[in-house]
Amino acid sequence: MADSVMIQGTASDAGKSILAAALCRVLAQDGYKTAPFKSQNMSLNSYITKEGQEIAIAQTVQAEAAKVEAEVNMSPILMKPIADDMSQIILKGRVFKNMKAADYFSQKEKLLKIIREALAELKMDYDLLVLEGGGNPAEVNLRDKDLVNMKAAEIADAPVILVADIDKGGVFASIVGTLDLLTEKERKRVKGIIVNKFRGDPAAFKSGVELIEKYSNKKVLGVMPYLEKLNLPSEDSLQQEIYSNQNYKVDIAVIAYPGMSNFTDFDYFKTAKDIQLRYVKKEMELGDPDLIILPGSKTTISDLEFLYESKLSGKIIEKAAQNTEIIGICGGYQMLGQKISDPDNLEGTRQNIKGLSLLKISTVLESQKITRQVKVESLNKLNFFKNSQKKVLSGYEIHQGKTILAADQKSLFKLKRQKLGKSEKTVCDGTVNERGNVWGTYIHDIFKNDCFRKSLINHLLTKKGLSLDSELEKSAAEIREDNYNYLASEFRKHIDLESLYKIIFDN
Amino acid sequence: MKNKTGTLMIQGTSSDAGKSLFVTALCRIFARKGIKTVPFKAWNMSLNSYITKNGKEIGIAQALQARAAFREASVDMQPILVKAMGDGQTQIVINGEVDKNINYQKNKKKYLEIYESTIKDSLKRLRKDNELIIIEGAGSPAEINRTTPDFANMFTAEIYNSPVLLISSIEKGGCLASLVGTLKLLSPVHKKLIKGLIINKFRGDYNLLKPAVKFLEDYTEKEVMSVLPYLKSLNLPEEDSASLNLNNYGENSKKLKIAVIRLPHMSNFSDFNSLKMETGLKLEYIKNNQELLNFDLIIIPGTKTTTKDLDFLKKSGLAAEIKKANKAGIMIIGICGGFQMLGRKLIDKYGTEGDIKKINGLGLLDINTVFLNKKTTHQVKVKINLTQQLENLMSRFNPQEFFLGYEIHMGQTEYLNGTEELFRIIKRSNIKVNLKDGAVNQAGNCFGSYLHGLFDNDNFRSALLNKLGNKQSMGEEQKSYNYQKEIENNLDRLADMVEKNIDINKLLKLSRGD
Repeated sequence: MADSVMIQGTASDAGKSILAAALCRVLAQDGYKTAPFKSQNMSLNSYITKEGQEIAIAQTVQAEAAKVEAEVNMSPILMKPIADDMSQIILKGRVFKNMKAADYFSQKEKLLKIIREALAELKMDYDLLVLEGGGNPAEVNLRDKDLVNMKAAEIADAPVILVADIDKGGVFASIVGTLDLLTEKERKRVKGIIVNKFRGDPAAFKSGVELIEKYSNKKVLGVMPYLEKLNLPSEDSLQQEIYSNQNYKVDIAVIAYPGMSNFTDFDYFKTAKDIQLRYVKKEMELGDPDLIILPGSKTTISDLEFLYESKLSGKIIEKAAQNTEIIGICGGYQMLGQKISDPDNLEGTRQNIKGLSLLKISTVLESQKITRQVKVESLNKLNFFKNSQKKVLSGYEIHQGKTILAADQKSLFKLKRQKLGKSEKTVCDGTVNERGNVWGTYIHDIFKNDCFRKSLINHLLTKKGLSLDSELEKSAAEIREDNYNYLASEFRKHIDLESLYKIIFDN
Repeated sequence: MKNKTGTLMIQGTSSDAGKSLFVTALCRIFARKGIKTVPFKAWNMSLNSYITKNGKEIGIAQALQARAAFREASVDMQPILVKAMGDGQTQIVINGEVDKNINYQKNKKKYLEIYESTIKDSLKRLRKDNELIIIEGAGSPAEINRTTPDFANMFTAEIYNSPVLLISSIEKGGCLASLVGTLKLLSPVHKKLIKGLIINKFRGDYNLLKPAVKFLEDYTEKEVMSVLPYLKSLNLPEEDSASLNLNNYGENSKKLKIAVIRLPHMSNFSDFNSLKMETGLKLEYIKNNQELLNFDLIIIPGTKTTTKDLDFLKKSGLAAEIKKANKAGIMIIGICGGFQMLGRKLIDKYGTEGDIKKINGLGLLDINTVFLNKKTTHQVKVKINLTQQLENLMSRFNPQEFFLGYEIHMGQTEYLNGTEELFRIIKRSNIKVNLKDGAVNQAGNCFGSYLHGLFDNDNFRSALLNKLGNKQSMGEEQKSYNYQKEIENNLDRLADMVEKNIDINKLLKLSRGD
């Protein structure tokens, strides 16, 4: 049976996710087969596992840091908010149903069972589990609703490391207050403290460390510096609205409708040379980009309504007519079509909505959710990729809709849906307009494919009479690897690993 | 006779709990009820400062709070200002002036004495002339690793046993723990001074929070005086660079694009608040080297360390980009340190700005600057010098028109080769003078000035933007909005939102010790 350790925080931005990823990489480097785990996640950014199950991006990133394949047990409950007080609940990678907060908590026993099973299975398959908590563990008004902090620690019997953010001040109070509000039993579970986001030389905080130890009776395992250079997918919200690289030549605008999902699809452009990536919410902000992307959406119909109300729709249509490149991914692909219908009222009461009609397709929303990793073939329909050596791309599908092409339209790709590494079924996907500047697909993470991303950028540069810098860029995977290793080396430098290992194994 | 002046202090559980805005709101709420109110913050760490009528330098947040209270800002409202210069170096401003007689690092005891007496004396004077003092703390009062008295927080509260409200932001979670932890770490005397708690930045279902409020009151034996909603973008000048997260203001396809160079020790970026609030332009902070040819105007702002930041500009490559842009006809404006950088040479014999004794400027203006040990701080009234170049630059000014602003600088600028000044200073700290300020180049597409707050003058801003707009040959002359009126509206809106959520009479009674 695997040992385990849990990272909890004094507040939601204390740095739990990143430190859990750091620890995953350190443990992997030291030869432990490690799995990340978070019992309950609220996010619109999700990933599809090999088995075709939907999980949170944060645990996918941590699994990558741990050098293991992401699996559903690492993120057994995913809540995807669709309205102020309503979420689509994903249990063990499958849609359960849409629920209000109160209904959700009334299912507590069922949820606990799922968490117990997931943890038990992970414990069988791995040497070590790194659990992540959510928010602060001492929100006394929510104690009976806790599934993500001490309850999960208790089930896994994991010692807890409490992470506190020192950046904005009040670090002593947040640690002392958190411990004070825990029950005696919970408090005992906290075995160590990490002070995070320290600006300057962490050694300068020595007297502070001693005081924390004195007032908390817990060991401070280390003081982590503020890491400015990190570039890993962020789960919860956009950190910035604009990412400009030096002397960028290509301007990419992603339409950030309220229900935008899987915006981590575009992270690969953040570090790409020549690129400025912008998230655009208003018509006035659109400007004159070289590429407009309509991303995925959790609420396609209301987000399409948003496009009309904000007048972004008109601007997008205008740009398409001016030969600007327009790409729709998943929900964005559906919006580019002629019509979206929702006969079963899955998204609300509106049964039909007209699309932007830039592609000759129509979509019917259906309750069955397709969640599959895919191999993408037949890549010769896109002009800029026609002559590529690469014959297969990878990505994943997450959608609850079926798209039908008009009779005279050809599909863009062939998708081989994968399950456990084997092709299950081949389907047609996507389409491109006659002029070749507007296309859409259901595939998420398609820009992770280096050759595809580079060809697209090159195509955009060529359209402007520019050309791609010959300098070889790092691949998306290499950039990720560099980030994990940098994280791990900082963790090793500043955290007392010997004591941490003792906490994990002596528990 | 017993002094009847009430005092009420707001402390926070961390630096972004929302103290400053809350104090601003309280100042407006009480002042508009006819109570003679002043803000006070004993110790402030900020690079955004304001100059009072008497030429004294204070933190900009208290200037705004004073305005909210319908009062003229005075140095007593903010007697100790610490300006970080990087690498652990600071400039300390006491009673509005740089105190260079004491080496604070070496003579700690003396400096503690000066801090103590400065704070006590200021507060004493404020108490004499006012009915209510709203005091703002700094950071958290529970930083138990500090080795000196907590001047900004409990030291100040203790002077008149001011009741303290502890405010905490619930936005990121851990609000309860921070409040409980802060109270737990305070000494019994200080804990007793805390009379109430405030939960700030709340959004969501109040029913879920209700049990937490009850728990807090039972557990801490302190009343939760208010749960304040999330106060959305209020367009009020910002104090900390911490809140300068968003680098872009305004929409992308707006007509005019303005770049502000984000110098490492950029100061007084409150100068650009009035531009930020314009609807016809986009303001972007530029941090890294990039081409600037897409902009209509590039502004180099003030800085605490001119020579060091100029060195940064050169090394980053931005200096070359600025010159290239100017060559292409793009207008460049330098404010204060940015103005100095536009010149030929900057000489710093005394090391006022850092280690660099001499550095060449960008050479866009024919001026040299020498840094002295003395800081010039004045509110000023200026008239525009309508030279040939300026006619070209902005032709719409009435020669009689004057503008207001303030100077904060340690450098003195000399004019070479018949360079014309931009302004004539006609009043400095209320004394009539006739001095030069700023400079303009031959082509009329580059100018600089020592004046902070220059763009707050509606007519100046309006003329400048129209000139830039016309250059693009877009649209007719447009009158800019009224900046002062807009700030007033925002202060009232802020006060309305807070007043709705708190029992003002209770606070008033509390402040009077009733």
